[in-house]
Amino acid sequence: MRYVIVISLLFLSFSSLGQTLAPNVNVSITMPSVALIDLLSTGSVNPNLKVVAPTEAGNTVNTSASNSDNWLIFTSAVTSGGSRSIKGNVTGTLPAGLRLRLDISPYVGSGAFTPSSCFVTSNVYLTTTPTSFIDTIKGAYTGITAGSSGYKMKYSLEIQNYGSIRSGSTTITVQYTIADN
Amino acid sequence: MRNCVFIFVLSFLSARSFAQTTTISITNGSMGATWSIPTLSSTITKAGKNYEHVETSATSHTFLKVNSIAFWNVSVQQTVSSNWDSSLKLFVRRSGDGTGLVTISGGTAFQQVTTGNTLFFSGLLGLGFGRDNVPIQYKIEGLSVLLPVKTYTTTIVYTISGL
Repeated sequence: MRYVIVISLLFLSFSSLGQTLAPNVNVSITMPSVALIDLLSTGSVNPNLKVVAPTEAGNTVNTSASNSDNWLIFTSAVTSGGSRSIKGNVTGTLPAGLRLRLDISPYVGSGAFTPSSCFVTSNVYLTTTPTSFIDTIKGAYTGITAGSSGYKMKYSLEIQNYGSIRSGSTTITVQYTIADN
Repeated sequence: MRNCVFIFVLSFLSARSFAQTTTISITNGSMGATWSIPTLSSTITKAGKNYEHVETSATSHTFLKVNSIAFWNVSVQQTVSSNWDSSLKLFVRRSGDGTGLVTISGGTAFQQVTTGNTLFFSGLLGLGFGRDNVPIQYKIEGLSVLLPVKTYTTTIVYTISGL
């Protein structure tokens, strides 16, 4: 009987002392900041907008031509409290009497966004001063498929001052930037 | 009476001796006890994309040494704090058998490390010997630009039990 007790104690000692914690392995990974922006096009990257002269005296010129070939895509990674905006501006001089309108369609595609981010201003007029039209961009990626990923952009002309309009051809450049707020 | 006391003391000392031989340790020091990724191995080069790769450590990043009398199980778990994000998935695998006379089995395929203690690999018939230089490899899945920019940290804990 005594031997049974001794053996039991021996077994219990094994059970209680037979666990050892190893040194730990510390793992760390740093996620970097990312800010990339690009344009995709289903047609021409360089839209050609025409103001059409009236065919009947007394009518106004026709500015209904537009171009929706271009899509804006981007990738962004920010700190937990950070955000970015996308702005557009014109370099060069717009034709006198006209202004360049940009309509931004709601996002489509299979990308992903941090909730409550990427608020779109549906239309802006592009000038030489950068104008924000997608705001509070946090972590986001839009996808890269032209025509089905990103924000479709529609360019059109509007008459600002009819009396200033002159015939001729003008080339301007629209520049887009993604920057920290 | 004196015989009984003698047997009891001997048994206790034997138990302590046996227990101390069931151990696990990292033999390549701080190199094996830390896996740090200050810069991702692949960056996003095209707007619109997310990360598409998995961060993987060297095949033999950590070397474990296991000692036991008869049999043992090595378990693994992760301790996390607010400085980790659950979308980052940490995996571990045993990338080799190491050296030694003890049989070793399991753990050769990547398995996810969770906050629960999970069996990793096992050994049998130690007879006082062990397994040395058991190589361990790690990987992290779930990299995304949706994760806030910062350094994420966690700790992997190995536990050995047995006799």
